[in-house]
Amino acid sequence: MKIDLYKLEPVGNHDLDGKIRRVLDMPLEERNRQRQKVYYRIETAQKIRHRWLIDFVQLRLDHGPGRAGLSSPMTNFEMEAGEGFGEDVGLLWDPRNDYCAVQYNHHSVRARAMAEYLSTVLPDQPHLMTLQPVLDRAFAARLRQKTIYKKLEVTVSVPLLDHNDYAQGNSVIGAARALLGSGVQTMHLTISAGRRELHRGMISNFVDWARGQEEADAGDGAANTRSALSSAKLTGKDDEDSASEVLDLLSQRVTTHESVRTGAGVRFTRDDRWNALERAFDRWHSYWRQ
Amino acid sequence: MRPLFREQILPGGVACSVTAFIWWGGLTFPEDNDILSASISVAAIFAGFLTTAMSIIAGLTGRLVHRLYAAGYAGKIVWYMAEAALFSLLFCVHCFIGYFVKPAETPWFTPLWFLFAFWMLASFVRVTIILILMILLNAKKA
Repeated sequence: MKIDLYKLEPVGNHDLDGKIRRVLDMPLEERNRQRQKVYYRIETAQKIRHRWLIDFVQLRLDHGPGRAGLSSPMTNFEMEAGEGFGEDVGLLWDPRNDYCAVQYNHHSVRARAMAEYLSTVLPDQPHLMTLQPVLDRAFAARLRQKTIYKKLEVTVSVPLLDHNDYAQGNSVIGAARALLGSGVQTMHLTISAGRRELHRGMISNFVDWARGQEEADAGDGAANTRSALSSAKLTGKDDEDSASEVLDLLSQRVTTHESVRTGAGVRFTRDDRWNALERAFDRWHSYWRQ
Repeated sequence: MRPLFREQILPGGVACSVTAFIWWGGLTFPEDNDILSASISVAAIFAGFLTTAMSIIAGLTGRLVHRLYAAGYAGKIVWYMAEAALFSLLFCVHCFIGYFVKPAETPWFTPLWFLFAFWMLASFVRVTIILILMILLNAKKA
């Protein structure tokens, strides 16, 4: 189970603690929120030793897996009408320092969607907050050491056309032309300084921006596929005489893999997942302890 | 003005402006009925073409065409086709009425004839452009 360290960055004063309690008081069906055709919600949450452990569930109501084994045939799960599959994922939030350990589940809610949910779940109490991935210390130091930036390479996957075009009032002819005109689905962008060097301010702005982007992955219909950045690499040198080094801005995050046992129903149990989150978070104390 | 809104009102806008111009100019309809029968033939050809276009569009199943639908444009495309077909029919019916009233002596006949004719023409052009683009989209592999 992959776990990443994030920093919750709210703008101004927020009452997330009270907000979570209010959400927990709501009946299940009122907690559902829709994001790009899928429903997700806070399933349960618990405050254990100053830390909130929150479970999100993403619902998959259209179609899903079946039950099968090496020697048993594929069969269906028994389902009532209105039921589908749920994918759960855990979030640990420490209110004292606003650092979060976020479980990565490819098929479930990811950090950006979680932040969006926490921001807007109560319509009378909206409050913008984002979850920013924390950069690895050693990587951050290496990045700071580079005084000369030579080249920046970015790969962006371009969505061909989506609901936004319609919502923005793009015409049918315009939309069809846009689809016809560019078969481009990925765009490679290289900014190279040649013999000179790239502007430092631009690079630091870019690093901050790239940090907030989630890694794009192709072809899944989950709630998190809006992001488009699929690679971002920066080439730099410590000084004029040293060799150039390529820094991958997307993969240098604080992350760990925890082994978790599967329980009944071949699923990770909630206790095990929450324990893994706590273990990982404790191990990262050098980041969150001031 | 948003492009989608402009695209929606353009045929009506063109037709209304032409009609206003004709009204202001006080143009009268020709005496003999040849133009009426010619108009009916034109409208019938348009209506026939539109029906064919509808079945062509229904048969387009390419990935890019599907993407266009999925983005929310399906309703608009159907609406454009319906608008063109509807005005072809209205134009047809109006020309039939022309056989029973005396067009040259009926003040409302000429402006209405221009209104329906230009509305039909403009919405037909719009459908044709979209049809061509969609056929190209369907043929394109992406």
